Amino acid sequence: MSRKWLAREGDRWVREEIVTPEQLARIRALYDDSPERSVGVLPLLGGLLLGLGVLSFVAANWQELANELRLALLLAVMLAAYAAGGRLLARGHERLGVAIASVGLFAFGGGMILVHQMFHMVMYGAATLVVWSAAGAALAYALRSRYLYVIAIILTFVAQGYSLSAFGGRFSWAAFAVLALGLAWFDFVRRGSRLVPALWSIGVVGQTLLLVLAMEWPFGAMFVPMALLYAAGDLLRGDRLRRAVQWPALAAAFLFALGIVLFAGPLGAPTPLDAWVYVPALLALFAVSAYAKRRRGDALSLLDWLPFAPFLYAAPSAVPVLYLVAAFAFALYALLRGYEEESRPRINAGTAAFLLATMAAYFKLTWAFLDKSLFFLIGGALLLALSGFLGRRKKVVLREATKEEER
Amino acid sequence: MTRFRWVAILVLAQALVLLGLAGSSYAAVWFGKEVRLQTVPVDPRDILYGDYVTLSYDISRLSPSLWRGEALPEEGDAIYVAVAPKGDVYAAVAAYPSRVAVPPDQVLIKGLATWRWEQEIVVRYGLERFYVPEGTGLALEERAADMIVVAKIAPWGRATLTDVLPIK
Repeated sequence: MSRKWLAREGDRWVREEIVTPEQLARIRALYDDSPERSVGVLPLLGGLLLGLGVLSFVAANWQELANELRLALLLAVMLAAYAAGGRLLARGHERLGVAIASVGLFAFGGGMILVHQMFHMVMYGAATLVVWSAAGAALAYALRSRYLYVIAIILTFVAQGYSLSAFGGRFSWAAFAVLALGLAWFDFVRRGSRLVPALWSIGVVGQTLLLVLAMEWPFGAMFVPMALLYAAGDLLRGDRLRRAVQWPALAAAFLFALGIVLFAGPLGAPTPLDAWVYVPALLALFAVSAYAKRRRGDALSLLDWLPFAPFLYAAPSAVPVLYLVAAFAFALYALLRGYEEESRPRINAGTAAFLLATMAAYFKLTWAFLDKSLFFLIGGALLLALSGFLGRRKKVVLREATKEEER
Repeated sequence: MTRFRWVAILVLAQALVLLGLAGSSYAAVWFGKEVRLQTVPVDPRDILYGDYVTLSYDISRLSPSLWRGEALPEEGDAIYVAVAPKGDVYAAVAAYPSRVAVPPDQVLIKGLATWRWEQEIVVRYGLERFYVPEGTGLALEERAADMIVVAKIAPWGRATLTDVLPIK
């Protein structure tokens, strides 16, 4: 919300007698732009131009510079960025300070790569990039910065991608550890954000998927780490935090269940060994989750476990059917739960789940024997009708909820 | 302010990482003994990758008859290769599973076994990349199969590449 917007809308609020002029003045004071907070644009632009000049001069002469001089330059750039960032932060320029400090972080990573080039070193793994991501994580903690946190998550993916692509599909456990363990505690330091734990959880889901692909494990193997993530979420205190951590795991499990419905063929038959590891692991995690949910008085949400159910070990012909039933039951539960809680994001998620399950069912049941054009016609009509119906239902529920609040 | 103390420690650590990386190379150059190694042809599509030339050496592929350990090394095992002068360049004379004392005319290089089969042990020494200014790699590429590489080998086995000389 900009101050201009507040200035324009505020007058309207007063006209329509939503707030009194005194209240408006107090609201405006809250968002007042004190001179302390603003930074002169001209010195900033000047600094930028100067920096660019130095950068292009160095880049043009880089080959001619002695290694010692190059090293000194790299260090100087990095230290100067950190020092400038620190100064700005100390003066209360939060965003700009963090932005400049992040330049230092990039200088550190770039510096490591350039040192490798200068001395013709060979990298044996993604260790350099893992160190970079760990430095990013530490900096995010030290400055309590959400922006740096996101950069650290991205850096763990850069390290992971490099390890997988340059070293014959070797999964970097170190990069995974920086993400899954190192970055897990961030929200405990800097409370109150729903975005950060969700981003963390999405990152863990993504790297777990890379792990399963790199190890060439069967897709069903995804269910155990996702269940672990979900059950760990149940141990967290605070509704918002718990849901933020759990929904990516739940969404992944749901999508994998639908994937099994559609592509059950190439999954490969489970071995007895799987059953001795996979099923007990799932049961143990289910027990932990059930215990936590009971203590919280939310035993009903155990239905979230439907997509995790280890149906892979049923008779092969029954596997897709069982997963389809589980997916539908879960989608229906999610939708009803959303209506009951009158929560817009949950209704949206439930609607999406229901539509996806319908699509999977339709695809599975009719693709083989329906004429293709007929298939898409009927499928499209079915989806439109369903989404129209669910959308109207959502509006009704949310309108009633607002009315009740007003009463 | 504790916030800034942590950042200061962090920044110092990052500077030390950069200096340490460079220092490990400098130490090998300062304390190391110079050896000259003969390059051999590599898979042509791998030679020029971005802005570096991929190098392979006579000593990159060892005959198992040089092995002085019990069982042959597995992939990922550290391996110490003794090289001795043979004509203009150094050639491998023995390979050990751990550091050993070698005669004064020999130099021990630490490497990593990357592949092994009955006829060969493939070793990486960290000398396999030579970074070149962008756009100048093609000229080197044509000769990458037949060059002399100058390297310094630290007493602790670390090898660092210092120069690449074409054979006249």
